[in-house]
Amino acid sequence: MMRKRRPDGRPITACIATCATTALSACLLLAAGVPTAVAAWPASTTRSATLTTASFTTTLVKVSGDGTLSSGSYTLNGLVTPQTGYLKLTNSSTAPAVVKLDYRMSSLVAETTITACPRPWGADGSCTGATTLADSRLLGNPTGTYTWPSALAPGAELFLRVSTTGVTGGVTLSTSASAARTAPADRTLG
Amino acid sequence: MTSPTLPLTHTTTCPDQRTRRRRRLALTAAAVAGVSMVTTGAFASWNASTTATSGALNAANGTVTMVDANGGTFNSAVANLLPGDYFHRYVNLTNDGSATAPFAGTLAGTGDLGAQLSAAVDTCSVPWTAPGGVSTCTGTTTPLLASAPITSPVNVTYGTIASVQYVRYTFTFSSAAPATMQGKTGAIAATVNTALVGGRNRTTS
Repeated sequence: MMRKRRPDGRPITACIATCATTALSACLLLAAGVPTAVAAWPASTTRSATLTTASFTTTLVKVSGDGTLSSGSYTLNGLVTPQTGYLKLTNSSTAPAVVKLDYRMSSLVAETTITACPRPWGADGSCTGATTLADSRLLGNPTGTYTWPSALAPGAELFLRVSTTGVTGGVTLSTSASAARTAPADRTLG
Repeated sequence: MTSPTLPLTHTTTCPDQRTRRRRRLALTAAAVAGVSMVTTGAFASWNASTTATSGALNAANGTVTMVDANGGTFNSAVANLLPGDYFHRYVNLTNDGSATAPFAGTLAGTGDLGAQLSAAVDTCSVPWTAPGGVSTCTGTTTPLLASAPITSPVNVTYGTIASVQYVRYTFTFSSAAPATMQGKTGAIAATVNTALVGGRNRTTS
C-alpha cells in the first residue's frame, strides 16, 4: 500500500507529528511563564551645568618712554646712553595669579633697575603710591626672575619703570602668570 | 308512506371525527389566548439579578523630578576650575508618579573637559545638610557609584523609590589635567529615568 507523501518527500504522518510537537512546545513555553511583551511607560529628567577651567596670562603694554614691545616682550637695546621705558602689566588671568617677571641682560649692560608702581607713573617719573623695587642688576648677573610676593587679582594692573644706565646689547623683559592656588578646592559654593 | 331519505352528504360525521375537531379547536383557542396573554404582559415575572462593580480603575503615571536641595542649584556653572577641584550637587530625586518604580540614569561629562571629569554618587537616608558648605549626612550614607570617569555616560542605579531619595553627586576635575586645559569648557549632565511596567497580578491590590 502506497503511503501519501508531501511534495518534499516527507510522509504526511511525519508532518502531522512535527506540527503537533511544535504546538505542544509553544503551549509548554507559555505555561512556563515566558514573559510577554508589556509596554513600559517611561519618564525622564535631566539636569546639567557648564564648567570652565581657569586660564592664566599676562598682558604687557608699553605706556611711554624708550624701548619696544614685540610678542609680549619688552626690549631696550642698541644705545649707550641711559634710557627709561614705562610699561603696564595686567593680570589677564581669570583667577588670582602669581605674576613673574623674567629679564635677560646682555653682558654689556651697565645697570638695570625695574620699579613697580600701583598707579600710572607721572610724567615726571613720580609714583603716587608705594613703589616696589623689582630688581636692580649689575653687569655679570645677566638673567633673573622676580615674583611678586602677593597674588594679583584678575584684571589687576602694575605699572613698571625700566631704566638702564647704558646698553649696548639689550635688556629683554617678559611676564607670566600661574595659579595662585595650588591645592584642590571644594567648588560647591562657586 | 314513503320513508324519508337521508341525503348522502358528508355532513354526517362520525363521533371520532367530531372529537378530534373539538380538540383542535380547544388547542387553537388555548394557543391564541396564551399568545395574547404573553404579549399583553399578563404573566407575573419573578426575576433576580445582581451586579458587582469594582472600585475605580486608575492608570498609573510615572514622573520623576530632580529638585535642587541643600541650598544649591544643580545648573549653576562652575568657573575657573583648577586641577583637582571638586564640587557637589544635591538633589532630591522625587518620584512624582502614582506608583513605586525603579529609577536609573546616567552621568556624563561633555566638551573639552569631558575626559578630565569623574563623578561619584551617594545617597543619604535623610536630607543632606551643608553647614558652611561641608555636606553632612546625619543618617545612613549609601554609595551608589564609586568615583568613575564620565568621559562616556556612566550608568547609575538608584533603586526603587517610593517618594524621594536624597542624592549627592560629587564631580572632580582631574588633578592631572594638563595645562592645555586652561580656559576650556565642558558640561556635566545627570539624567534619571524610570519606567512603569505592568503585567502584574493586581487581584489583591
